[in-house]
Amino acid sequence: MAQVLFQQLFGKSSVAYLVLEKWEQKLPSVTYANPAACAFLDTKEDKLLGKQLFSVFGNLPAEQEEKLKGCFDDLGNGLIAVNTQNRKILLGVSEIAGGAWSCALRDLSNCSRRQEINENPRQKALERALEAATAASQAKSSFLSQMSHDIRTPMNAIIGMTEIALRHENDPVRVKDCLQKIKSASGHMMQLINEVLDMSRIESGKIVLEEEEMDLADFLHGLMAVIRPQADEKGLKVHLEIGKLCSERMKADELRLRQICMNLLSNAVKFTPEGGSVTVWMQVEGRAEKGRFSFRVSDTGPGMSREFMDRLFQPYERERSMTVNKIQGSGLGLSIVKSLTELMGGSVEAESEPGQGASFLVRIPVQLLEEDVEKFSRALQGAAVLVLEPDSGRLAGLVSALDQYGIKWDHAACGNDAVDLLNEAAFSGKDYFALLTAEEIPDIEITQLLPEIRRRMGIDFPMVMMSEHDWSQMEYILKRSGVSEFFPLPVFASRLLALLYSFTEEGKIEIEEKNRPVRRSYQNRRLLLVEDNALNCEIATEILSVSGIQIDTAENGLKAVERFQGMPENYYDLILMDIQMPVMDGLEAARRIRALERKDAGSVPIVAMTANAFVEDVQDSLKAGMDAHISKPLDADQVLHCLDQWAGGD
Amino acid sequence: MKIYQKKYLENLRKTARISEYGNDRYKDFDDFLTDRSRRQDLLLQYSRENTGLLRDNLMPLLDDILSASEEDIRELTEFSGALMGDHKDTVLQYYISYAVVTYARKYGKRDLLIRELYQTGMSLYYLESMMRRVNLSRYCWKMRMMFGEAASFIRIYDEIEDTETRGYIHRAMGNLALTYSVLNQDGLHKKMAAIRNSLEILNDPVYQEKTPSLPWDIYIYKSHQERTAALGGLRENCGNLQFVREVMESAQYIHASQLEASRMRGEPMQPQWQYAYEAAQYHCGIFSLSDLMHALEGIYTGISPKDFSQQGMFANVFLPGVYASYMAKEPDFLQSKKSVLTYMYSRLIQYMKSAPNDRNQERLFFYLLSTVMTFVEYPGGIQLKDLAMELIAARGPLTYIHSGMTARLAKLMAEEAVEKIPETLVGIAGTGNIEEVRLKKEDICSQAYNSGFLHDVGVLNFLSLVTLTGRQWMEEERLLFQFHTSAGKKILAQSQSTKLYAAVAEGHHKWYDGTGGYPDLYVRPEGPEAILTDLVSIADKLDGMTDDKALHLRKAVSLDDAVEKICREAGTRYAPHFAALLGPLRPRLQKILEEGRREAYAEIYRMTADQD
Repeated sequence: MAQVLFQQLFGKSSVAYLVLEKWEQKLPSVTYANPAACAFLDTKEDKLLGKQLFSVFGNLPAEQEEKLKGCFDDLGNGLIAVNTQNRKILLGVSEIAGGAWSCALRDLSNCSRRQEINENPRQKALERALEAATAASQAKSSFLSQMSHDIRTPMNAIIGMTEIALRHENDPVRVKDCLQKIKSASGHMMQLINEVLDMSRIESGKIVLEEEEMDLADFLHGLMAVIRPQADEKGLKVHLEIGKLCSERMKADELRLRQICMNLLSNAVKFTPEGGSVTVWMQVEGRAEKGRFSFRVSDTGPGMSREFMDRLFQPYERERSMTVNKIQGSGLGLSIVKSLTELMGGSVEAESEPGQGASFLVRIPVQLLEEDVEKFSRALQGAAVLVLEPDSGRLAGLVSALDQYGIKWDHAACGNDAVDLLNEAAFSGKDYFALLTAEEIPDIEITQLLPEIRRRMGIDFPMVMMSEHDWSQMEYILKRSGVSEFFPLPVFASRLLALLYSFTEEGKIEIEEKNRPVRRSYQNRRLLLVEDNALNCEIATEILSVSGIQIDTAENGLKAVERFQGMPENYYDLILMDIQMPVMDGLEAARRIRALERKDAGSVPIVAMTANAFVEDVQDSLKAGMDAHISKPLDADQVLHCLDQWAGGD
Repeated sequence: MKIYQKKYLENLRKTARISEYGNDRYKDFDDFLTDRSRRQDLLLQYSRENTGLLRDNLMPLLDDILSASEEDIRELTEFSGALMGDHKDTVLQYYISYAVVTYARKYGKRDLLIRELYQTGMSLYYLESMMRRVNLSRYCWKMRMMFGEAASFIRIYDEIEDTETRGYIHRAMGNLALTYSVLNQDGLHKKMAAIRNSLEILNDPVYQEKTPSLPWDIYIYKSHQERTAALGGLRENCGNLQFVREVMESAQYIHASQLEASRMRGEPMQPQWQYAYEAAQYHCGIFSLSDLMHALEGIYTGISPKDFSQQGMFANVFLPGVYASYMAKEPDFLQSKKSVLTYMYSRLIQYMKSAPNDRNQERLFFYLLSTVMTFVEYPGGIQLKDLAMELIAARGPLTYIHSGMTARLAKLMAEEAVEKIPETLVGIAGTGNIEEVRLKKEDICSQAYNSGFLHDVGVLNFLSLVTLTGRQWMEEERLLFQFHTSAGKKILAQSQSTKLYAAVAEGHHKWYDGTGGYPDLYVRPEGPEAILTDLVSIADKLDGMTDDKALHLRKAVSLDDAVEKICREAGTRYAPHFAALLGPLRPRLQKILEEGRREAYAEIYRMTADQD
């Protein structure tokens, strides 16, 4: 049947075609050859029929023949190159039915431009279509084989780890370790699967865009929250640059937009080697319906070859070096970016050269929304802020936001300048409404300067620390320094305005407790406060009571030791110990507690309470077995931090 | 004052007296040594006593300053006032004043707040002066916060009834000028502006009428005095025409009142103000540089080389530095005035040797270090190295002993290293291989000796912390003292003859592997500096641990224990190849520790005897 069909279809084709069929386990044999194929192979059809595929090319070296056979078995569809004695022949193999293939032959060795021009245009088009089809088909196949590897790898981990966990079910540490690895492997697999599914949905035109109002600040911070930890892990620097922002609110399919940007970002992080950097630039221009959102990600990675750039947005394509460098991924990311961007009516451009990094820019038309900031600007009218920011780039972003809403500002590039400005303001009667400060300044430790400003300016003076980093790590230290709020960079004018508004009288009334971070619960924690001064004891109990922590007190060291001894093991989570007390001092009490014969004697955290200590006293308290010292008068934050640090909240 | 406060002050007085070292006469060397031990025992005793007094009485009060009674606060301020005056326990005074500031803020006691802000600012000023002498800074911004806040009460001047408090406001405003260094344009600019602002208010008849009983003339005079300090900035070309005019105005103001005063006393004009007047005229363009040099020579020669008064000190110690820096403005002068400067330097050395060890030390150091910072070296002339060595010997006898000992020990180790491990010394004295190391043994050992001798030159700047504190150090003092390394570097980096040793002075407390010690930002250099630093770190420790009559009050340990401790920390804190030399060297080390140290003390003894 196949011969008849092919005689009709390809009998007059100038392209050489063979039809191959496979019997049992052997290599497929020729069952049809068109005249062009006979001419190509310089023989008659009957000499070709029944011959196994590779023997039609004459005597190939045994080694090559073996390799080609292997190739054909693996492939089924695709391109195979055959080197005969005098020619290089490309075979385009496609399965046309179960056990039957068509095979187009092409001589690559004499392929010249003139030949192509002489070819019949229709034939040329057909041939190109065929080549594209076979190439796509080959890409899909190699993709599938790669994917099956990519999916199998995490799957192996999941199965293997599950088995290990089952074998060690009585060892919680081991089980937890296994579960963590399973979690990470399945997360990775989920991402692969999602991408494949997304691509197939895109390919089949099943995606419908859902436009909704979105806030650019939230959007960008959301992206950064995911990407920064990944970048940090690889030691990459992430620079954020904000271009013109005509509005910070717009209407778009946020989910898909996030997918586009996230794909670009994670590619950049994935391909940039350790110590490199990724620069993100975002801009929103235009008005109302005619807005345009631009997002560019540039990296210092290895870049891409020109050849690969041509195929960059094709699905399933991956740069060879990617597999060489063992970078995992489906190869779908960029085609998803391209498809989604185009679906939104936008465009994506890539720029790269090998060794020069890569840069991707998407531009998407969006609808910009009006921002309601009048209330804020009204409340802040006439307010002046002191800006302490050594970095001129960050300063520019900040002051343009302040200028936008008519908020006055003075700039200090270092701590000493800030002090001068504070003094000048005090002389001239100008009251700063707030201080906006960088987290690091060149001349003074910020943790020394801020408390001093706080003391001088009073408890209500807003001091805002601006940071690009995840500040949860340093939150305690900086809160202790008197910082009122943190402000994530880059600056979004409306955000800054809203924050400053929250410090105005109007704003304070409006801002509900809900915006404040929820404190951890200390209800099941117990603290032993050893303090001889009854008033101090009362103050401490009072300030700590809001946290829910249970407080026992002892009025001297001896009482403390007795109290500790009288309670079951691990009863107390923290002991706060005054140093100088009648009957028995804190040092002796700490030593005695440490010397007790019970499990928690060595482990219960003991923190000394004294601010003014000689060098030797600090050493003595450590020698006596105490873990740290904190200053008096006690402050709830400080004690709770101690608890977090030494005993952990719930 | 409370009894413990009085007792503390009494002990502080005794400590100061015992530390005034070198003014007593002894029967013989043994008598000197016995006295040395006796003093050391007494110092230790007072230090323990004072530490205990504070720990038992003051610290609990400062810890709970908000529950202090008014009586407590009154006594505290009296105590801190005494610490600021003759007794000078600046850091303690700072802690107390700062605590009282907290108290005053909390309870809205405005007069107290203003006064204590001022006092806190002053204590910081004294600490900053110590840093400034060696071109460092640490307390400026905080000082400015304190004075600035106190001065800002000028806005509610009328609400403040207490005259004394109003005085503190004016003084704080004037003292804001103290917080700027004149040696850079920005600082000079701000300093001049601060003085301008302050003078404007001081000269305002409205304020003078509001508080007629304040010593306005003194305030104004002091502000003009402070403005002449800008001459340092003008010399460094940081000024502009307005500044020159203002400095001239102030110099004339001071000159006129000095002229009046000296006429009344029948004495010549004080050299400090004479110099300010002449220099201001030069900067105004009235005088040529040559006229100014001539005038400076005149002022200098008019003062006796044995005048140890403040003004004598100014002329003998500070003027040579000023002279050198004006000289540097005109290359011709460097040659034509060479003999004058050389004469000034040699007179300076003599002056240092015979200046008494008293409370003027701080001023002497201020002048001395400023002269060191502009030191001009001539080939074959007086070298900074020699001056620094003389300086150590004359001004810090105990540093001298330690320096001499460290030098001897470092030299011995270098000798041994040339024999046993010459490869570790390649690079010193320009050597490129083992053979050259052996050939240049003498040069190498001499560099090791000099490194040891000069490594603690920066300590001189912080000597009062060690000799006068009279109690255990507080954290701030420990941190402050650590700057002796950076100070040493600043001093030694000035001149060709000492450049090599700057890195040793800076790095001798930093661990070999960089994981500990100070300064934090110190980066270990490559080459000969690193090798010399490694040798000196060990030698320094070895002497420090085995001497109990030395600068720091601590118990000495035996040589064996010291060597064992160093070897235990070889590889981390100390260079392991040099630490390994110590074991076999033990007998010779012992000899140096016994005989060498006795010899070093004997030198000091001879020097004290020579002063007669």
